[in-house]
Amino acid sequence: MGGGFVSLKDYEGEIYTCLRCGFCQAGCPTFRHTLNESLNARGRVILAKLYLTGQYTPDEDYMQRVLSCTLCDICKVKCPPKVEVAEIVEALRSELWRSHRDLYPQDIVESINSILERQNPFGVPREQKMRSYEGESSVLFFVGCSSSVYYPHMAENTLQVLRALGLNPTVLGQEEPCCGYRLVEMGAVDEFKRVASEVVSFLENRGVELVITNCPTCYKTLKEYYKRYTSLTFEVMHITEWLVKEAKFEGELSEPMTVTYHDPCHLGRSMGVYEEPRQLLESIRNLKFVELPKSREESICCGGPIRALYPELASKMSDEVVQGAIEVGASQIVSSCTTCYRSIASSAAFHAEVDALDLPTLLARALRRG
Amino acid sequence: MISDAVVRKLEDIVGSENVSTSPTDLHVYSYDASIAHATPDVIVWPQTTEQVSQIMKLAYEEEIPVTPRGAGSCLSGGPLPLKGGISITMTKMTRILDLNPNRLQVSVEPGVVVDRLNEYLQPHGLFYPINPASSSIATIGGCVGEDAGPLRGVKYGTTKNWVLGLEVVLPNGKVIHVGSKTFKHVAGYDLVRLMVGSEGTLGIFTKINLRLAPIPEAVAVASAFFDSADAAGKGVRDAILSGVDPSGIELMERAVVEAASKHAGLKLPQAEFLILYEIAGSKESIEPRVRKLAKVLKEAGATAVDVAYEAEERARLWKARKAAFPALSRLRPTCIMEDVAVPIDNVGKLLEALRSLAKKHDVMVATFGHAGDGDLHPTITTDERDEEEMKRVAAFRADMYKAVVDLEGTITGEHGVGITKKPYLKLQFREDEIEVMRSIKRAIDPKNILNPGKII
Repeated sequence: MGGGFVSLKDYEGEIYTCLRCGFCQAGCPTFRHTLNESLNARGRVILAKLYLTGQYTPDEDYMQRVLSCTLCDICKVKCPPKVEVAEIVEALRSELWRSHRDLYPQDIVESINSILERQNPFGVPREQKMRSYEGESSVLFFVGCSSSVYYPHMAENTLQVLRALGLNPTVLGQEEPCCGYRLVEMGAVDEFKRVASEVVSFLENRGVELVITNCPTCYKTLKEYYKRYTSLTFEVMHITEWLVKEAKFEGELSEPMTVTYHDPCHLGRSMGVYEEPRQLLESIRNLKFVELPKSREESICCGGPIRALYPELASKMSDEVVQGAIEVGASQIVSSCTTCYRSIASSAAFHAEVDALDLPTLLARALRRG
Repeated sequence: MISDAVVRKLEDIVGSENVSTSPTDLHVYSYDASIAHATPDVIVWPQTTEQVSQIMKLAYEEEIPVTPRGAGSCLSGGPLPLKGGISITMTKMTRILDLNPNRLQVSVEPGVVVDRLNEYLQPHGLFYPINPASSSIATIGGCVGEDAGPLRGVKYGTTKNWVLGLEVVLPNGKVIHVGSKTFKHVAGYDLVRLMVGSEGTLGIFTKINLRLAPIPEAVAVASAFFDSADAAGKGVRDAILSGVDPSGIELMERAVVEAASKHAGLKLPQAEFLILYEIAGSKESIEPRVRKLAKVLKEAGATAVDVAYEAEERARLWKARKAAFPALSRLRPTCIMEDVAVPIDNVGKLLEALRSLAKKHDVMVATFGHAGDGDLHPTITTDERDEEEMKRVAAFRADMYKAVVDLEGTITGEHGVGITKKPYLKLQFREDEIEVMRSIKRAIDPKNILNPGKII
């Protein structure tokens, strides 16, 4: 839509464009696993319209229906007139954050405060972020909070791969700011605007010209959400884009492995990066690549964004991804997203035949011919 | 309003996780794909015939209205509970019970989605031909309730031609089985035909036995262009009379082709009317039939005829047809799709009438639809917030239905009467005929609890 989402009123046209045909049911994962139409995209547009026209005062159920949307955007793939439901939901949340903050689950409020106070959404001290590395000053490897705090090995493996291919980026460690996605995701738009401009000036002041990230959410936030409010003087690339475009990645596994790839919503449907991760996987010798039953723009959301709030529903979503992988005979489900990795791993733990694997770790192993 | 005691009884029947009285949910279940809305007091998701029967017994005893719902994709307000009460939502009954390829039959629960059924049937070389535009979400139960029509209605007709038998829960909770497992049967009144298209007013379907068809070996699509409504009408009629046996004939007028081409990013030749003809059957039959069709269409006045034999090219044409409605919906804030049908030799006259009425009432109307069934979707693009314009829309609709009846047609070919066309049923039928319908309704549902306020 451009220009950012200031109020739901800006989305009145989009809301009225919804035909209520219900075709989004064929995509919406929160509907598929509940069969409750108020947890479907059409339902959420109806709820937005009720708010817009002042016909309904939000209550707890209303909040649950609105906050459980993962913003995975598959509804738009299924929507005949391509209504921007995810943006409507974001705009609705921005209204609710202003008018009904008391109805927000405490977890979200804490997460938002944590970003503002500690530069991560998890409520952990900033010191728990991974160590820093001094490299080329103009190239930054933006690790992202999730990898930095919980999965530093993914970041270390990413670095290994980049260095082996001739790039030695800087890693900020504890100094790395949070991109602030959780703010914009949950409706704290004013706070997000502030964070966006702070992060951009911080990176610019450091002389950063290229940001490479492994996290699809940071990638989308820096590259797309920031652009709604501010202009960027640096380039933003996902690691898979850089590896395909700027380097010639070659690798080999010591044992044959059948691998499938899960498209993260923020990398695939949001940003259109579908081919690069596949090209990387297919360049690894001894690796047999198989597609999931639903892939690329049809990819199923893993439930990651709502795992903390609605764990039962999120698990049904990640179970579905894992079932798909078992169906196509993959022993590893590779994802290039820490949130997806965490989700998929929690479901894969119940199945002996399949595991979750993050892309950097696989690439580092293939480089070592491991 | 429904008492807490009744809600507790419903929870006892289906489990509390399958009952909702949340105002948030009730608001969402107030809508379908029509412009109408009506709010239930409680939503219930049963999973077995026995549960449906118990719900109906309870409702019958307490005289609570019950309105069945599938995917909620109805275009006439069928699943909207005009009198409140229970919205009984069948989407959790999704089992495919019994496929018998040797009989060309499958038995399903009502919540099975049409596309899911066809995915299931495809490896057996079979399909269920009645795939409405909403087949990715539409439930079989909803299709039976509304007698839904497909894109290929010329050859395959509508849902009523493919339902062999039904398990029905009556308003008093009794479970009956109607129809037969044979392709023909004349034992007693045809209760299957009575139930199909009854819009949830006579019974709730809990099992549906469907007839299936073998997937055709080969398909071609011809596109023909016409300069006038009269020539387009002839192009429809003569194609059917010619004996080349098209399976579907779909029409789009200029405004639709323009919007759809833009929406789907396709380059299509512009003409007053574009008609697509699907020819399906054995490989060797296709070419001679298409050749004959092209000759017939040129004689009928087509300015050009193109043929697509390759899957990719056919997909391009169907993409344009499928983009028709969404493309129109982007033109104005509100989009109302009508559904009127006339005998196949009156299609040209209907097209002319629609154009002149749209002009008379100063309303934007773009028409597309299943011309081979005589069934067209004049689509009004408007703004529901503009009262003055909505009055003109209402006037157009009233005149349109009159014109359709004058052309010996029907006020609805496949979307149902529901709420949105109820005021116009009397244009098509006299009081004597409507009274027969009422007496059937009274006989089956004496307390008028099943989807009250609809059709009649």
